[in-house]
Amino acid sequence: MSINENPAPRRLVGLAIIVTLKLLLFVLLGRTETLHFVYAGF
Amino acid sequence: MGSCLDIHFWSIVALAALVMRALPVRRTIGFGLWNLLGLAVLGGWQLTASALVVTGIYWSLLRWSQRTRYAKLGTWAAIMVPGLIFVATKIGTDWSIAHSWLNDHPQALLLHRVFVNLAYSYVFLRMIEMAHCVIWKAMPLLDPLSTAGYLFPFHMIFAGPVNLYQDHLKMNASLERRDPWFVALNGADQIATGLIYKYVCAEYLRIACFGVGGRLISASWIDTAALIVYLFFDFAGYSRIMLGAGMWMGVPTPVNFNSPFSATTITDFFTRWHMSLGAFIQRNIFMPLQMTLVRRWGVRRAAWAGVAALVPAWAFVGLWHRFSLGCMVYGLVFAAVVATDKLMRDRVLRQSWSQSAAAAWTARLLGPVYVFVVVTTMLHIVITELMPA
Amino acid sequence: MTSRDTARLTNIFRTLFNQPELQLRDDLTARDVPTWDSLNHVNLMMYVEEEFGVRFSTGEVSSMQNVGDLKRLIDAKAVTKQAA
Repeated sequence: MSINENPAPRRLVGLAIIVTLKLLLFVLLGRTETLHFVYAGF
Repeated sequence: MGSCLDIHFWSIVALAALVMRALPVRRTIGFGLWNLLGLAVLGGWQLTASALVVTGIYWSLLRWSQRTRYAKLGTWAAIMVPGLIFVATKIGTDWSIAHSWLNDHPQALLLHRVFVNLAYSYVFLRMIEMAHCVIWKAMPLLDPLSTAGYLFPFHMIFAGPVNLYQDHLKMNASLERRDPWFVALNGADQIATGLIYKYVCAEYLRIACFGVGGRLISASWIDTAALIVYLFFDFAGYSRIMLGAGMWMGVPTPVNFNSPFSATTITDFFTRWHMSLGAFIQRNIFMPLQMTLVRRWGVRRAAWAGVAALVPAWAFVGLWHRFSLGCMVYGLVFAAVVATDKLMRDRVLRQSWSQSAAAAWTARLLGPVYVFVVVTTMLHIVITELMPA
Repeated sequence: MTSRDTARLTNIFRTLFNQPELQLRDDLTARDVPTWDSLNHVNLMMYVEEEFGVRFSTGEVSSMQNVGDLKRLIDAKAVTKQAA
């Protein structure tokens, strides 16, 4: 589906659940010892 | 500006998302203005001022190329000036002899730092992209403020991706109402995936293979294999976070990775890895050159024209990453590997057995393994040049 | 596009991509043909240039997404050529 189309509410709820789960995973498991990115400086 | 967890960065992105939607005026100007705020808050007034000065000079050159009287001179200058600055910046960064010279010349050192802080390697690509569109494709030249927003977008300034000028122009045309919840959730999905890529996948892999705070040094082929997977999660994570930020703000931000490890040929891999750089080279170097060569040599020699066009395209890739003879040679070796892979694959696909379902399944299963082994070996050869210990 | 032109176009696709049985559909893309990669894409356009006596810009070559786009492009070029 293109971003220009308006999705069904059910799809929005599904997407919201997926985003919440991903953010939860990041908050619970995320390690931030290295904040910088290795390829910077090119 | 190196962290994706900076509260200031996300505040500016969130506010921009609200402001940009409410703008009654041209969006490129709106983003141009907001971008200055972003640059000033995240990078400081010096960075913002230097971005404005560089934009002013470059915009004047492009304007010059549009005046009939000075068109040739303007066109020449719009390509040569950014090109020479790019070469000087790369030499200043990559050549040890240049380091000592710069240390003896404080003003040159200051100028070099300005361009390094502006991530000029990416700005240079945007400048060439813009020149190609404005001069050769006769697309309209944006005003200076909008041009600054295109050349120095605060969410893409750190490490790209290389955004398209024609997409940036469309910001003014596409004022249709999108479902704000869908845009917000789509952007959030990209950001959440990017955060997991970077701060979960990449970090755990880094800690497991190189230790906490350990240097990314490859002593063996296995180290390089780990490094390439790490690089993917690190770079693709950043790219997805910025893609999400771009979606929220309504600023066209290209997709930079598309499951590269599922590629079944080397050519396919490089159309999925750092896609915005690959697409830039395809549009601005490879395709024009291949077309010129095929027209000159005839379609019967089209395959060889394609192979010949790979040489300067890959030499540029090597030099863009590190301005050294070694990296240029490695770029040429990559070109040879890509060409060999392509010619071999075309030969295999001409055989009748290659059309069978079994052959297709075998290629689908073993192709990614073959690509991973070849790409890792290629990176292993270049790693000491690309990432000196 | 006339059926004769479609046959000429089909012939180019079959020869270049080595697919003797290939049927041209307007929605056919590079994903559907294994040998239609970025290198062969330009070659395809150059073969079309030679066969139909037209000339494409780099922008037109890179923006061509499927066979339908290509047919429309050839038709537009043919009209311009006739007008000239």
